[in-house]
Amino acid sequence: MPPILSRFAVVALVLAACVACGASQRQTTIKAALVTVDASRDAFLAYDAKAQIEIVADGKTLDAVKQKLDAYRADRIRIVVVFDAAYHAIAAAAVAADDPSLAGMRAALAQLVVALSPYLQPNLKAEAPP
Amino acid sequence: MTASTTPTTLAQIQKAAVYIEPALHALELIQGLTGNKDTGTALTLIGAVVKTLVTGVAGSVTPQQIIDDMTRLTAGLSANDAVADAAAAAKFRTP
Repeated sequence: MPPILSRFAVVALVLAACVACGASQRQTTIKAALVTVDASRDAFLAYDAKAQIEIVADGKTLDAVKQKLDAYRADRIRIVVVFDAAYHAIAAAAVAADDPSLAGMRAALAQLVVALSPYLQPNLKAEAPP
Repeated sequence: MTASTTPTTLAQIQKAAVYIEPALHALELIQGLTGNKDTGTALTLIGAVVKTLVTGVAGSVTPQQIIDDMTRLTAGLSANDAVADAAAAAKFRTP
């Protein structure tokens, strides 16, 4: 069901976390990661509102709408868990001063991209650069 | 461009790239999630991203800030749920 996330998109977000990988720029990297996850969160919230309203609009009966909303919300938990993991990884990187925590943060961001990929509009996905 | 200004210019470009690159990737996600018709929303969000990066990147990220950001996700989803439930109730309310 989910369209496969373009290779470029995965690389892109990992690059977002790596953009300032020098030790002296650790805080910049962490801040950039947090801002990126926050922006993704806001975008997901916008998507979520629209998706739920569409379910209501398309429903024929109240019971059918409730069932579809319940199913959608149960499926949505997967995304919430990945967001939580990303935020916790950023927190760990912010508190610790070691390389593994930074690597964990990058991995969590990559997982977030993969988790969000089914929700991306196919026509807006970036193509792999030549 | 003179030789004396080149290092400064390069440094400025490098500094800008630190802000712009994550913003562009965030934009990709935002546009992908909100869809083509929601360009206004995407532009608003990306504006906030760039502003935050430029103005706030110097400060350290605190655990409390991260907790607050995480809480906004839960609160936002709860608010969306309430709106959808209310819309469903209103749609199927019998007169």
